[in-house]
Amino acid sequence: MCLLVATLARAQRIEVSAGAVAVTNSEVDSTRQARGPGLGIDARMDRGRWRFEVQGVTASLDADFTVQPDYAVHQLVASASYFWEPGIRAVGGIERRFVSPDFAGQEVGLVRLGLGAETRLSSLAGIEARADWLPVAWFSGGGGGGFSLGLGLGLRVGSATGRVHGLLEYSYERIDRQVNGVPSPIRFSVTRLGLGTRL
Amino acid sequence: MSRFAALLILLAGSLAPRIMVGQTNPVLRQAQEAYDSLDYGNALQATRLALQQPLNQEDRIIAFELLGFTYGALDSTSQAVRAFQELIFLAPDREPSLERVSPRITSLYASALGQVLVVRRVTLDSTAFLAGSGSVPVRFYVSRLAQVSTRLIGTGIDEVIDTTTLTGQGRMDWTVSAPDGRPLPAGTYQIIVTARESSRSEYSSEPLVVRVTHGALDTLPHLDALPGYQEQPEMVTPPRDWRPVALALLYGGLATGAFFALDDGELGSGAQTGMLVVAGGAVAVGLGLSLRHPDPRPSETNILYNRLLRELLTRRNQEIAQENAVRRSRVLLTVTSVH
Repeated sequence: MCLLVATLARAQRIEVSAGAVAVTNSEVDSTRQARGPGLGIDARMDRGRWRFEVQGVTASLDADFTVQPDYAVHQLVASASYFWEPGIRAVGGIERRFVSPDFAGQEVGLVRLGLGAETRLSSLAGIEARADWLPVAWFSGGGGGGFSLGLGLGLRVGSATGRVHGLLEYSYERIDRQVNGVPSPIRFSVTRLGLGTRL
Repeated sequence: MSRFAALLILLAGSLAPRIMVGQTNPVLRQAQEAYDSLDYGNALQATRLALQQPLNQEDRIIAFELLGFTYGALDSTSQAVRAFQELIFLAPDREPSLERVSPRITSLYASALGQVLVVRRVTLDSTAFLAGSGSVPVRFYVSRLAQVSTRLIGTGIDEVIDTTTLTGQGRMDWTVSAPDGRPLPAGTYQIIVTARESSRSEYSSEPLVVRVTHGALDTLPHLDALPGYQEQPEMVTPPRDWRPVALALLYGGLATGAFFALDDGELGSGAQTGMLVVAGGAVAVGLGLSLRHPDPRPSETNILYNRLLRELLTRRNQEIAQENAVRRSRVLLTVTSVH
């Protein structure tokens, strides 16, 4: 497996990163907001005009109010991007969020379509942003997604050709869930601080 | 006079420099003294007497010169001309000094010169030139209209190198080359100029001895740089760049604006912190990058300029190498007159 990865690494650019995350998840109203720290990992492969990315996050969330129990959330995101211009890409992906224990929060499945932009601030840092439309959403408690959007902002500090870089990222989702016509919105955000390396 | 005294006089006469005219011949000396005393009669008589005696070459020259001066002073034009003709044959290059001799004598000499065929004042200006691309002038004077041929004699060569018909001052440009065009070997040569008026009237000059030496051309040095041109630095530090903070503000501002457009805060304000932290961090990093000294960047203009300079330098050195190859194959001839 290591040999396969090393061989693939020589053919294209592969990065992995890991770091601490701060997650907030809020459903229905502000009394059900929960937040907490966790860990996140990310693997990215750039090949020609394509980028493939897989992210994983796990966090323990503490509710601000007793009406909401504490729970753990685990998220997996897989996405593919196509750069039709240098720095400008179309993104498509799927996302799955699990909650433990069951029913402490909504488990969510999403399809993500969006646009991304990235640029180098200088030889030592780069910045990227993303705006997503979430056309398809599935919830463990039922209901529909409505008009759902997401955004992301990321900062990468390190030489473009260097092996190690630092990263500071933020992603946010606003899902206008409705259950039997009753608004049950969901807000989910992840702030990540970590280190990455190029294989 | 005792024998001892006579011996002393002879010894003194042989060892002292010839500062007096006709010192070896007392009669000629007498004639000179008479001429200097304006006693032209006795001068004439003594000179004729001297000419009947065995004289060396120099004394004969002096005698005929004195004869011509004396006849000229006595207004005997034809005798003066005849005497000067003999003088010209004996010493073609000898001329009466215009500052010391009267114009009448000078005109008689010129008249004599015009009546005889001689080649005089054969000279060569020492010079140096590349074989095949230069020449050395040989100058001479022919007293009458005649066919003049210049002959070169040396090791392995004896041939006529120039013919012309002229009177008066003449010049032959000698290329110092063999009949096949190659430069003559180094060595000593003789140049003889012969004037021929008819089958019975011909005069050849004394040989002009010249030395030909071979040398090599200096080669050109290779260049390390083109004179007057310097390479420019290929990495230049640009002026302070505010682009990083501007981009950070743009991205951060748009993301923050979109966030606050999406999030109305009704589900809590927990998500705002992360957004502000990341956006603020991006702006801070952008500001720091803008305030630091910019990284040196490659200058396309300087890179192209340096590349052009190197190409020109390479081309010039190739030309120099070719020129040096030609120079090494060429011979520098130095021709000097040997007195």
